[in-house]
Amino acid sequence: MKRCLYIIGSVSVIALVIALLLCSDWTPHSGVSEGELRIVSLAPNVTEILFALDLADCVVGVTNCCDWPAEAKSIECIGGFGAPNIERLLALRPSLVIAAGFERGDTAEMISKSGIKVLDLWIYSFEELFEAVRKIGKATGKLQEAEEMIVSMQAELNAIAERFERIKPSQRPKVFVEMWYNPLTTAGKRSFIDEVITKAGGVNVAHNINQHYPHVNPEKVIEWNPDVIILCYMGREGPTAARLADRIGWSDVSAVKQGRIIDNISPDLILRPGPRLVKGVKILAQRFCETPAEKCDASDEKLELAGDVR
Amino acid sequence: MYSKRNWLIFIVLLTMLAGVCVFSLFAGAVRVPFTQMLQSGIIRLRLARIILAIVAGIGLSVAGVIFQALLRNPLAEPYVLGVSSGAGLGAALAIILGASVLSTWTLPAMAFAGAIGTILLVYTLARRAGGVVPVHTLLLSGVIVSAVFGSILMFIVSVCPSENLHNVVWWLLGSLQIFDWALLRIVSIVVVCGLAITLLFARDLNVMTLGEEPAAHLGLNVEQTKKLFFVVASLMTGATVAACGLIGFVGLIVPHSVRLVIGPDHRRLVPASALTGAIFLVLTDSFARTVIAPVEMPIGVVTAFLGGPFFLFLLRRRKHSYWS
Amino acid sequence: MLSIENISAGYGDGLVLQNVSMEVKAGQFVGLIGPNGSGKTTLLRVITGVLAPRAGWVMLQGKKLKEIGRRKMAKTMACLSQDLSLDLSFTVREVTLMGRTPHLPKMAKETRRDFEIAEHAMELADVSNLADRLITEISGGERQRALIAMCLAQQPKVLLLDEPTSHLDVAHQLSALDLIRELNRKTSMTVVAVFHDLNLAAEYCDKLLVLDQGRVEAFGLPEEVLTSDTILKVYGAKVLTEQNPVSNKPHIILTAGMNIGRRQVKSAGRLP
Repeated sequence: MKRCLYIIGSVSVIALVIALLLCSDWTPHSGVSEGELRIVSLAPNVTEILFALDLADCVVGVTNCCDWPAEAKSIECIGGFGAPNIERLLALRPSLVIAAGFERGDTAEMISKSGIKVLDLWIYSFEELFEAVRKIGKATGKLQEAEEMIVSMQAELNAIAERFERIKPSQRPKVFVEMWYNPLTTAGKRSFIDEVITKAGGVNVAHNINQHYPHVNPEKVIEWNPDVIILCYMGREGPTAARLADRIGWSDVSAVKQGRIIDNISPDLILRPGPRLVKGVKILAQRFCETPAEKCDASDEKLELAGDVR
Repeated sequence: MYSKRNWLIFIVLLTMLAGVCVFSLFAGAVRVPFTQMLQSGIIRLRLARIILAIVAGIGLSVAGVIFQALLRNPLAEPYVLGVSSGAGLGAALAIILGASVLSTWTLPAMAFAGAIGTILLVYTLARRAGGVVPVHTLLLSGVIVSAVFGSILMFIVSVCPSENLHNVVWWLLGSLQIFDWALLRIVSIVVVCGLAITLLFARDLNVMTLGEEPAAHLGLNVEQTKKLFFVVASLMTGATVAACGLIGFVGLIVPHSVRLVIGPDHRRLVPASALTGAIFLVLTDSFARTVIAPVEMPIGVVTAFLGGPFFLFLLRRRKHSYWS
Repeated sequence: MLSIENISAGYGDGLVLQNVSMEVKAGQFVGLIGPNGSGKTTLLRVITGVLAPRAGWVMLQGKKLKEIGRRKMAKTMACLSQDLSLDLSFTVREVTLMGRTPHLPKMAKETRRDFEIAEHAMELADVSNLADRLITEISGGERQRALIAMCLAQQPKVLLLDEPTSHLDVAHQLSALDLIRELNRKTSMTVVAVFHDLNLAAEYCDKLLVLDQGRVEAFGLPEEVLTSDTILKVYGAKVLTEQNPVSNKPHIILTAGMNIGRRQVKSAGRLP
């Protein structure tokens, strides 16, 4: 009896060892053949850039926030913003993974250990945006298209800048951007949207706060007395323009008195560091100009607001 | 022979409250010149905030006193029966489902519903045959429900998109920011009524601390008294949480600190705690919105930093404690 | 004064008391004795109305308990229960004043008269000198007397006590019981007390009720009830009895070695 057990035991152990050895790799290799470009995007802005660079066919995996352009939604989803499901990602056998920040610090290391190239792009300014586009272009062999995109974006920005260059900074509209209301959160100097506002010809009232998204005291907003308020809620909708007037003490604020509250721009246009950002800047510049007093050099181009307006 | 000392204490507390309110009116992220005082929207905003701080301070302290007396447990505080998890869950759902688009009232209403719903659940779970609700069972079921709701909340937080995550977390940290007179009015009415009822029946709270059976022997209708006080304390806590999020420490520390000075007689303890809680929150709020202006610190952080050491100081000073 | 008829009561599904009846006349000092678990505290709970009986009823001054409101009952009957928690540092005077609760209208403050009654109660209980001391800082015996003062402040006609002398040393035991008996004799206050110590029960009580597993084993004068046979039957212990030379009350003599090997010791059991 005991002998039987010993025999069965040793056979099982040997079988187990063989199975483990055969069970392919511990370090999964992507097994992608040379020259094949399979890209996984871990951020919606990266997806937009990839599509703009005409790389739509090479994108094999996106996140659940990648919603533009519409074709992106039909690509396989492998997780959330910067938080991929590693198994799904590896199953796609990508050759390149591009992220805009990872939720967990060790994800990048884990992916690159599997032999996949990882690009982690943190974009907080236009300079960094252009640099990122360039890097993506280089990594995907689309450097020329990348440079062209950069040039065209810069040209558009310059065109917008021309419109308000003549206006002195002290006379440009003061802008308050509200990211959340409880507690009141705005965008400070370190955020990208601060630069977006500046490039659109406005002055961010919270520009002197050296944080990304500081929580400010509502009193401060009354003191700053912005001319324009942008409601930029990243999640579902927050309070509408009409409600701002009901806030205690806010009825004195210039933007509220004049009704210059921008609540119908899709936040993706002004928060997502991608090719559409310039369009966002253009729209903002238009809205900043719209005061009875200021006659800016209004171009007659009809802005395609359909689809960009909530 | 007590009377003179008590009157003195109350006069001091009232003066302190008045002083702290005036100080708070002037303190803040923005300097408002005296001449513009009456016109300024900023002052109106500050005034609303001070009123909310007073009301929240009263609500949390008195609720803390009530729970400590009824549960006969020095660790009891307004959130002990799971209110914090329930309200957090309500608020998180409101934020994630985007319910705030319906009205500015949705978020506070859902937080309030979460708070009250939790307490009802805890109460029902602890109920025995004959309508009796033994307090140790209440405490236990409160802890369990709190843990369960807390884990549901954590689950929701983990799967929700990151932009909502921050908003939920910041709501949970508590804030005395108030935008809306109507909400302030409702919360104030609830708290003031709760305070009035508690003051009227404070003597019964004394008797309840002897135990439920001894209280019955002394002629109290124990179940009715318990129910009344639980309802009052729960409504006050729920209203405060709905308007301000979770502000910890106040409901635990203020009753103990005041008891160390003024004794356990609830007819003095309740009003003194109310005043002290109000002073404490007005002071901490002016601190929270001035220190790193224009950025605001979460109020819960300040209450812990200021309240904790002060209570320890009081504890060391007294030779005997008022809760053996 | 107090009439208990055919009480059956218990907790949950079990039955602790079965068919207990007792008649206590005004001014009597009755002791409840019996082994652990025989239902003494339960009986006390039924008498105070805290526990509702399954069958039978309790009559106080000729009226059923159910018909008397809780407050009215508290004006007539005071009870010193064992599980009274004195965690908070009230003064002795404040605790005594709590005894006035049933007499005070819902939200009223104590009047001068209430203070006087409390002072008198504290005098009777011999804790006047402790009036301003914190109840958490006095000795066990003093605390017990303070609680007696609280009961006395209720101005009850019936005083119920649940093991009033456990945790007390011999001096305090005797002084507390002497006090209670004096009140009983002088003011005709009816007393029903649960006793652990049979000798004290015999000394102080006019009549004894012996409970055995929820049933009444005997009810009568101490000399009739406290015999070695009864104690053997109820407690399962072999003891000798004799008479106290001063009071002529029965006295149990405990002797070492009389109960070795007695596997028949009765266990505390609940009736099925």
